[in-house]
Amino acid sequence: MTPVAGRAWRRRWIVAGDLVLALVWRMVRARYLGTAGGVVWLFVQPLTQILIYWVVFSVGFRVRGPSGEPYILFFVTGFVPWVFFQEAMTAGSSAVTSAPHLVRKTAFPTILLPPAAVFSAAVTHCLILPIVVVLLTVSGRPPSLTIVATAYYLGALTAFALGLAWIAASLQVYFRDIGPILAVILGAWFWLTPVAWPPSLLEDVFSPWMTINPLTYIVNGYRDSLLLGRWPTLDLAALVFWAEALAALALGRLAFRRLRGGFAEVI
Amino acid sequence: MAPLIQAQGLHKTFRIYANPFHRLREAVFPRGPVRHEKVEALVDVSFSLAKGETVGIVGRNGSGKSTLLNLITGILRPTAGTLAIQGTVQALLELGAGFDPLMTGRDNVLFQMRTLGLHPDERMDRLPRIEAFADIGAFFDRPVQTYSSGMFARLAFASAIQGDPDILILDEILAVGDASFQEKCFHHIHGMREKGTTILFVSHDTDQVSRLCRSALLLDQGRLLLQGPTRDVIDVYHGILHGARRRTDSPQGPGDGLPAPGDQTSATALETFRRSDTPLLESRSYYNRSERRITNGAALVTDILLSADGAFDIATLGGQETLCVYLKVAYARAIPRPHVGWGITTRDGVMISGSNTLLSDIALPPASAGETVIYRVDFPIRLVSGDYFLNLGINTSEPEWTFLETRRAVIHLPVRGSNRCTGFLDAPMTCTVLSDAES
Repeated sequence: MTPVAGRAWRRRWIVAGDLVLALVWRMVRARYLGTAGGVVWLFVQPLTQILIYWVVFSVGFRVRGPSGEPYILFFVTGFVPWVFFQEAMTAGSSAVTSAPHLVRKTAFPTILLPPAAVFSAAVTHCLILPIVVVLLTVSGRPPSLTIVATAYYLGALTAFALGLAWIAASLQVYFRDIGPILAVILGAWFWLTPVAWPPSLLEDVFSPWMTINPLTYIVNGYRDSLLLGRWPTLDLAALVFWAEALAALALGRLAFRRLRGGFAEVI
Repeated sequence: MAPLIQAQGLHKTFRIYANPFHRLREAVFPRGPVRHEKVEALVDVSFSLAKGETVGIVGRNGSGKSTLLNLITGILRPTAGTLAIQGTVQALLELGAGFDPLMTGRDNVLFQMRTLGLHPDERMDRLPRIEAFADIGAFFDRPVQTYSSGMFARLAFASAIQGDPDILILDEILAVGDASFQEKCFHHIHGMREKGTTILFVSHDTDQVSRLCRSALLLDQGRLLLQGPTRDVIDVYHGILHGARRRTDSPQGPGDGLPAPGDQTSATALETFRRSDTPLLESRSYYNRSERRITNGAALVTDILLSADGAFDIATLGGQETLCVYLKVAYARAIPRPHVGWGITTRDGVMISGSNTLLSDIALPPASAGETVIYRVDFPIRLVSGDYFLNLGINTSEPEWTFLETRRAVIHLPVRGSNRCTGFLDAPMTCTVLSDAES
């Protein structure tokens, strides 16, 4: 790539943004408008999972949230960002392989495909968030003003997921086993993150891991802003997270740029 | 003016890996062990195209045509060499055009225009024109996967040309779609050419190439063999296709089909044909390897020799010759009433003209079993430039009309002469104005 003049550069970004928007819109529409149930499926899946966890932990094990709140509220506020992450990774990793017509037949900027997949998962996420707010309000714990900070955590998680999606998507082109491998990793990652269990439970045993795991920061952050009314602070966890997120972004972009040369030949 | 496309020493090497994981390993560790085999798709290709040129690219399958187009389009990157392109490129690569089968035609077209970075106003401006040109009715709002290949081609073509690109790449796209749509496309391409669009046209149909392009590139085994006037390039291409070693212009002149007395080469050619026990047909440049033989076993057309206006060395025809065909027929059974037949067809198998000794009321002597007979058939041709094929066969009319052996499309007749008529029959016209006094 040769360096381009300022205006052309700005124009390129506008075109790229426009394309990503179009891709996101297309993915969201393809996902929910193609089925008979339509948007209903968007909510049914996470809600049934929430229901299952609630029955098992709250009714069965009689667990309560660490701050004395009902378990269901504790779980939901952590589970919702996790679902977003999972979807972003699943869709993001297959973003390139699922668009062979663009890779092989046109000079499409494929680097935009993983962000589009991640953003479309974020759209779904934003549609589920109001349900969480309703649930909290109905349960007598309406979110305070700190709910605004959810946007910050959403942005942070999007950045981290995008970096990983670039890596996974470019590897998947050459190595189709990335899909099942990713499913295994995500399955383990879920239980290594304090989504279903309170962080206090294993804090002593797992303390270093809890700080290293970027999802801990996000899950705790969602609970802070939605449930506990706490604002984000600049602590060690935040610094570690951002170091990891920026590293993922840089590495993802590098990996994608290095591997994309062969996409049209392999797909 | 600077050329629109300037290719300098282009190389494209594909790396073939036994396993995709090897490819990944090399991509991640470029200095690690080598785990690939190299396939040279393009070797040292240099050319330049000016604005407004319409250039054909011909070559056999696997000669590197598609690779070259993919490089120009930007889908692939050259391994070495430089490729400078000024302006926008729109490509129709085979049947693909980058459409998402699940999206409707309208959405696909809109998405393509976004990819080109068009302003929303411009998109809305072009959309109805594309819809009108594609002319696929309600299918425009149905998913592309429900389209027939013809509709797909229509939409792809409409979408590509309405973008007003500086460079338009057409790869075999005109092979689909019905005749009237093809006509419409040709018409539009002519219009774009007049407006100064540079067009790169790839086709196996050398007829289409010669109709559209004044110059052409010939690729063979990844190398640029020739760049020049279409006619010359296509002649060399036909040579490669049909295995001719050299090209000679068929001598023009009066001829009744008889070898001129004292013409040593003609006399030798016929004598060799007569005496040879092994068929020499397959070594001749006009032999078509993809002929179809239909045989019932009673007789075989074992060898064929062709001359045009007395000349046996035929690379191309002018279209105005008298053809003389010698057929060597070996009879396995006695045939009391044999008939020799011929027919000229177009590339698509449409019979232009044909006859046989029964229709022409020519009596041939009965043939006995084990006999080998040489027949000589003469007929004139009046053909427009194009590629034609000759069917030759031996039949019998007793007890009923039966093919003993037909060799369909056994001879390829490359006619490179007159373009004054369209269609197939070269019927030169005259036109005069009648003055009042004369009427």
